[in-house]
Amino acid sequence: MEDFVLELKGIGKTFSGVNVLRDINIQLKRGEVFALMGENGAGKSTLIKVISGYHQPDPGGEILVEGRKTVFRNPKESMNAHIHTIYQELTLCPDMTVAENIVIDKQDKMPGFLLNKRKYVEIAQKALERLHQDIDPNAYVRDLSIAKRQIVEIAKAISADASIIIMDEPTSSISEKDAECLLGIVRELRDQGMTIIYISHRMHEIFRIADRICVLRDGSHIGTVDAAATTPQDLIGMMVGRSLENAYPKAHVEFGETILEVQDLCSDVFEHVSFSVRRGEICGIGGLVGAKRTEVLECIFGVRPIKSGKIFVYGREFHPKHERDAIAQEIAFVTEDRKKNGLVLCLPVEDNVNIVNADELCASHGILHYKMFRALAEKYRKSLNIRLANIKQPVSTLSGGNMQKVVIAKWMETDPQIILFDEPTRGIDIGAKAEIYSIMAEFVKKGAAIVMVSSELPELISVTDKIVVMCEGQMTGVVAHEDATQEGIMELASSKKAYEGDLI
Amino acid sequence: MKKTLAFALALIMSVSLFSACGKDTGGQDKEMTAALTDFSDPKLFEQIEPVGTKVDLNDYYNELGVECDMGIRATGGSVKWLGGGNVPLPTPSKTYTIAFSDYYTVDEVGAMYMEGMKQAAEEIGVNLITQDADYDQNLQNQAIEQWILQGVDAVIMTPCDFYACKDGIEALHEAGIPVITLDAPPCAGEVDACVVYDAVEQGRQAGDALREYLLANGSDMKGTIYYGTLPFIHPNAVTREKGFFQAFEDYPGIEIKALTGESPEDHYTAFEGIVAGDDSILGLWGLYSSATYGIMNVVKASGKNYPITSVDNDRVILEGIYNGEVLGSSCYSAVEGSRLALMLAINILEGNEVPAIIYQTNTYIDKSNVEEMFPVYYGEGKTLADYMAGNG
Amino acid sequence: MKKRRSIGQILIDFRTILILIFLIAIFTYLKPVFINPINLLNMLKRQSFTMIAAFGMTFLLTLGVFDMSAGSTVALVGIVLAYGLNKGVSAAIMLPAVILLSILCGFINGIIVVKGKIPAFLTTLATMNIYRGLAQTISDGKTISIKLKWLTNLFGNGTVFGIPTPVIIMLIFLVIAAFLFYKTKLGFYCRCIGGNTEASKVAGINVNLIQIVAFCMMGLAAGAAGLIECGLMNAGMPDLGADLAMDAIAAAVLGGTAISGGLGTIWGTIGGALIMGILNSGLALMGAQTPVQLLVKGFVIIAAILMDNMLKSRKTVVKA
Repeated sequence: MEDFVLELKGIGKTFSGVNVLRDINIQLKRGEVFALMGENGAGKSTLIKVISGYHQPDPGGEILVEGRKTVFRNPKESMNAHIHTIYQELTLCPDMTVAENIVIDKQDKMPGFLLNKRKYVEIAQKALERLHQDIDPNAYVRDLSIAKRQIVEIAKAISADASIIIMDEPTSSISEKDAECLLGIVRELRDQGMTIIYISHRMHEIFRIADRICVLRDGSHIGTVDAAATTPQDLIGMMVGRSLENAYPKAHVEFGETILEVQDLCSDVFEHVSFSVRRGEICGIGGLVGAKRTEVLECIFGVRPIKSGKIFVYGREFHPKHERDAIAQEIAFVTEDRKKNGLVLCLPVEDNVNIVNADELCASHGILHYKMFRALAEKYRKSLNIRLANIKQPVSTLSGGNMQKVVIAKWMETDPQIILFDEPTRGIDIGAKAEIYSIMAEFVKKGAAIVMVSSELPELISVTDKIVVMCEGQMTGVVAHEDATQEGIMELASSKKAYEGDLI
Repeated sequence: MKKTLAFALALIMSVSLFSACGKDTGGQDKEMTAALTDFSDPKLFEQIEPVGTKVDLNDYYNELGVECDMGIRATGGSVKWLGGGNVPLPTPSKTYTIAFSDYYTVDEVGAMYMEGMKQAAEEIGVNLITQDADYDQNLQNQAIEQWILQGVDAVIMTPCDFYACKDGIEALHEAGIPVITLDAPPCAGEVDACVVYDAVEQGRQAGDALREYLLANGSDMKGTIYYGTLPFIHPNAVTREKGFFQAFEDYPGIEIKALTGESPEDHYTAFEGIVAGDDSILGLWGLYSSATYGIMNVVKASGKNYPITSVDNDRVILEGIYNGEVLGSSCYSAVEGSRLALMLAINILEGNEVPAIIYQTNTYIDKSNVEEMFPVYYGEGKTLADYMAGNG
Repeated sequence: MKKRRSIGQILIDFRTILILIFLIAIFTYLKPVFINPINLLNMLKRQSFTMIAAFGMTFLLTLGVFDMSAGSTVALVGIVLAYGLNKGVSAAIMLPAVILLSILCGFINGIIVVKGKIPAFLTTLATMNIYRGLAQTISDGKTISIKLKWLTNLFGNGTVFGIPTPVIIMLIFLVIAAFLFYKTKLGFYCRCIGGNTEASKVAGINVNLIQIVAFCMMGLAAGAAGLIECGLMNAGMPDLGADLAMDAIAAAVLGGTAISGGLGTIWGTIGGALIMGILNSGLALMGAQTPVQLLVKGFVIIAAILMDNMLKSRKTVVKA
């Protein structure tokens, strides 16, 4: 019998009826780097949260630590079992010193009411030395770079005698050089006998450090393979898995003139993005989380400052300083997070539908024209088939798909010519998805142009006329509808090479 | 760069604010012949308690249930100021520095104390330092501590709190600086002399006027009179109440009920329901200006025509009297009070014997004399007509 | 490793001391009597209760909460003390009783915030009214004088070697507050929780307990401030302490404590309170009337918050 530090047996997790994880069986060996891969929404985050005690698995699932059955009722218990998680959102206190941050979670091992700063520094020093890092334990965390903060998190974990460290996309927001250094640390920890669960989208990274690679898809464990015995292509195949379905109706429309053109656009987080969209065309932007796709849309919509490059709208140069500039150019932005910046949740449907064009409806009076509000809301309720009991009910009571339709309705009244969709079908059931696609088809038939960001590859491939692929702030390729394959796009999405070919 | 700029900005801001605070006018020590006040002049004063008696206000207040333990050092008995119009000021032999702490300047009485004091000081060449204590005894005491350090010759104050002013008064006493109070007297500590008004008389004047009005209009003298007062026991309130109740002693059929509040808004709220719903109302009384102001507006809004009397001479009240919204008000002059206090201060500094208490005159103002008396309260040359035209 | 700090950063780091020096210099130049030790001691005396309240407030602000009811607690403590003494209850009973009462006031705030999950602002806004209402009910709205000379001397008017007793009490509180804040786990936990509540919970820190303790300490500080104000006034007054909570918050923020939590400094708070006291005293000495003082106070607070923001922007400048 092999000695497993952590064993997951039949772990499932259901959130309000939806199976997010299904029957996961994983064994972790001592001293290995275990990579966890999968598309967005494959269930990686949920799995980590189960291991780290934030979520309890559904009944029937078992967690074995060092061969003993264990239940983690809260994160503290998971930590007590020497499992440490380093989240993407770091959990350090910026206004405290490195040493203080490192000892926060070790208070129960330090009796007494008085602080012993010398001892804290000693502990910190020891942990940092083990990592061969030259960080002053007395420095304030707020003065450290993100990469250094990550190292502090690792020091925090190893000084707590962690035997398993989970790292959730540790390299997503740091530079190549810092990532290199981090990989070195991970290797060293492994050599010291620690087990590391490493989550990353960066294919080349995975192959350089992982011993075994586990792939999740749609909440199921597809397989665990030895890194040495596999290729990126195999992995992508495992991650994508499914074949194209016919659930994605594609509108066939004659293209008109180019109405949106982005030339060598750069902002603070992405660089050199170029593409153009014609009337009647749907342009997709593909890539993994962290590829900075949303940010491109934000630049076009005037929310994010442009560093260099140009945007042409209807052939004229367009330099938006503000959302209002974009709206004036008949650009609409259906945002990714409906609840955060798409809708005013507590307000009724009718108000949300009219939020963008309230100014126009009020004409010069500045007085709300409620009759018109209601009429418009009713109109869209019918035309978009928004299922609700009453247009006066708060948006928060609608389902995800219907919420999305309300967002679209609010833009439709402005008669937009360029519509930016950011993950328009995230969290929406299959039926509603098809309806959203047909609404999009309506738009393009009327001569509008659509730019759509989506993480769902099949959708992206089927619905769009061409796909711009990005990876970590770089544009890595443009693929025409006819040439698009999931594997091809995945490869571009995890390559680091900037695209140098022609634009389609 | 931004930070340095912000600092420069802060620097400029603070310097400009400091320079806005005004400068000292250092007094020149010019010797002059002092011309002092004759407190026994029957044209100016009526002697109430004889010279030489030990005078204080303890019995007066204790009888009304207000705790009072104060003392007055001056030995000249007590007098009542008779004259209307201008209070003649003594001429000091040199330029004195006198400090005046006003309890509050955001009501008309407080504002007129301040204005009267400034004008009086200028007339006789007194170097005046002033403070608006903003109803904060802590601030008033702080100012007194600073004035002791600065070595002022005398302090005039209208106490913020009747008890808590004790420390400041005692500190002045210890430093040998005479202290004169104006308006309501302190109920603790020993002062050199006081200028006060007879608040019982004020209440009585208001009550008498209301009673006579009711009798003249054939009232059956059965019903309720509501009055607006403060929500807590205040020396001025209990004294005025006493006088008002005296006026109706002979009419047991009249019930007098209190409604409380602090601001005009409070009183508006307190009286709104009563005025609308209670038909037994004979008349209304505002115990002080804010109460009257609130009551006036309630009655105006209700369209009813209840007689209102008042105490205090705020301009809105005088305007109400002129317009017939208010029957009349028992008034005293803040300007006069300031001049009397300064008169006491100069006489004490020059070594003249002064009365322990000067009572101010209370005059009942109604439509017949409101225009004539306006300048007495608001200074020579000011008229009600001007005020009402918006040129006040 | 040590980076050289720019002049701008040095200005920010030492801003409290710089402003203090600047203010003292300018007031002394304009009014030499300002630097007179008696004037300075008087200033400290008048500021002592705000300082004590500000120490308590620093703990709360560091935690990411604050207490609007501190001023009402001051009034309640003073009124109960004066009322009890006037009813003939011995001071030996009344003093511990009102101190317990003040802690209870804080405890109630804490328990509502923690167990009721009502934001501290709303909770203490409500208890601010409740405590003030109680004080006014007990006192009938009027001032109740305290006749015990030794008591008012002990807390307000007495001196020891020429130093006013409120100043001594304040210094004792300063030492205790600084010790608790910098040297014990209480202060450490406050900083942890204010800096990152979730992480603190995960680390096994009893967040609720620490919050309640901090509110109790605020109550105690307000109680001490109340005793001093009573001593200075020789009376319990129901309208006492109306500005106390705001002044205490302003003092803490002026000193560099962040209103968003996580960053606090007791030394800064005493500096901030000194700035307010010096401004108060100096402007009064210049003959500035209340409106001007209010203006200056307002500008100073805005300036302090601007600086606070600058500190924050400095924090986020560092990127990968």
